[in-house]
Amino acid sequence: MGTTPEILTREEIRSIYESGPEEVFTLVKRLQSEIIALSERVAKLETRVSFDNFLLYLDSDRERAGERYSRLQQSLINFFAWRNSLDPESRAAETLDILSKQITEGRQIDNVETYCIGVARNVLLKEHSRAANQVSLDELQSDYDLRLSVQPIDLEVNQRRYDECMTACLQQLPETDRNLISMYAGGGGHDKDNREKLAREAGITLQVLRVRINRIRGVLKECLRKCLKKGDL
Amino acid sequence: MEQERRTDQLITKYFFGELSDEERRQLEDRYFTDSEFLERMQAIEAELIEDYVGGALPKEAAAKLETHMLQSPHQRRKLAFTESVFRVATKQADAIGLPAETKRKSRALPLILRRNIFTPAAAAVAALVITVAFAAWVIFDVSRLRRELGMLQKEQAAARSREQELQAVIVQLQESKKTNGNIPGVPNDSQKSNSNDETNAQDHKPSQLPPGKSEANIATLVLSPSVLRSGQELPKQVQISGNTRALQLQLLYDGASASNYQAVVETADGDELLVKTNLKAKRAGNNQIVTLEIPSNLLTNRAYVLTLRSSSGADLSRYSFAVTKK
Repeated sequence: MGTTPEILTREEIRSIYESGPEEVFTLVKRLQSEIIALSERVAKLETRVSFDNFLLYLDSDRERAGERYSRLQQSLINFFAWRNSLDPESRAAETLDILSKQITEGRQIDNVETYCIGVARNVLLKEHSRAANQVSLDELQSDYDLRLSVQPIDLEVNQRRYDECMTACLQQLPETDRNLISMYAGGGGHDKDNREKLAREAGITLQVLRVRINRIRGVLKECLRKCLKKGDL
Repeated sequence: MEQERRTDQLITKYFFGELSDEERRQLEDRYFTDSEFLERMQAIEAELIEDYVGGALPKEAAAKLETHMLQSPHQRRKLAFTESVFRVATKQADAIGLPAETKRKSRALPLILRRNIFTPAAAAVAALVITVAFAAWVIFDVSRLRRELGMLQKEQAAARSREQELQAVIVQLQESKKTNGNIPGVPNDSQKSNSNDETNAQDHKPSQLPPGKSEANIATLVLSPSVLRSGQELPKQVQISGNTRALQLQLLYDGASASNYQAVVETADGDELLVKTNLKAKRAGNNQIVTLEIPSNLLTNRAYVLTLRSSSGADLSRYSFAVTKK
């Protein structure tokens, strides 16, 4: 963050101007950088105010508002991921930012979730049109191909680190969850018979097993995210 | 259930890109407003990726999934996550000894042990294992002692029953001596013949009378009530030769005395053989003895169950015996 620019009197400015063009140039540069820093601070403050307004709009209780915001964020990330966005997290943040600003500007929204997905669809359309304007479809395809070809190599290199994190994260799970996910994955989680067997042994329905396994996956992903200290899984 | 299945199918179609725009829009609207539905979609997505990783998807479906779900780096990371869970969790399942259907790899030490063998946590685990093992041994030993106690109690009951039988036999011998000087099971003058009847009141195995002695044409068997309700104990056995006229049963009964009794003889399969009514009991020590005779021509080589009833028909006691005909 920059410091507050000095306030110069007319005489001081005239004195600088008369002292030579070099001095004037230095002053202008200094003022420019101060203005940029100030603009950034203002933008951050605006975002914070918008965010606070948005939370307040979601619920008067800050904790409940936070939970609702998290659900919205999660829905958005999934929406963009399932609709093949190249960067679901950024698009989700962009959508929430638009929504926050509109609420701060006083727009009345009856159902935030329904309105939110409308905004998200527009954001996705923009991404697609941006992609179409920037590169041809063939180029886009080759970009995908490049990413896909790079990804496995990248994963192979990092697989050891990845598995180390996974091992540590599994160890951090409560024993019942660890055993359940180990039985699930170890027995070939995709196998229908295995799922039915686990549900029967745990005395729960397949649906409950599905939810329980999914929550364990969520905990593991969060743990891995922290362990790897990089992008979302 | 059917509704659930249809919803799952709809979600699967979404991931395969097979929904119309309107169906897709409806589904998206739903998961934005219903967090449980979103969770369900996430679970189905994860299962589809597991199916893909496990090679359980048909080729065409796998290709569709690649096109519609696994294009972006974000989605590819989900694939990497699933592959890692499968790799690591399978090892964990091996290490903690959980049954996994996947092929196990043998190791000198499981992964968990190799990592944690010299840590305080490992010491705590070892202490816990020893405690659990000791507790298991104590439980096992108590269980073994209980079983032995049960067997001893059964043996004690059988011995007590045997004692009562012998007391009854002594009383009968004394009475017979008083009246006509004959011993039950041993023929009197009028009964002397070439009969080969044998009695078995000593043990469960058939026994022969001493050689040289004449045999009565009425075989006698003293019966104690069955110890087990299930009737699974070995029935007393009696051998009957061709010229034995009848089998005399002396039933020991230690319940309340009644003016008269009924006896119902059935095969072990439940077929009724005969019913005797108006039977009288004689007192013998603490017991009563109810005597009845069964004509030997009614008996065949098999086990029988006798039910002693009061005159009103209430069951008092059950006895079992087996006949071997020579």
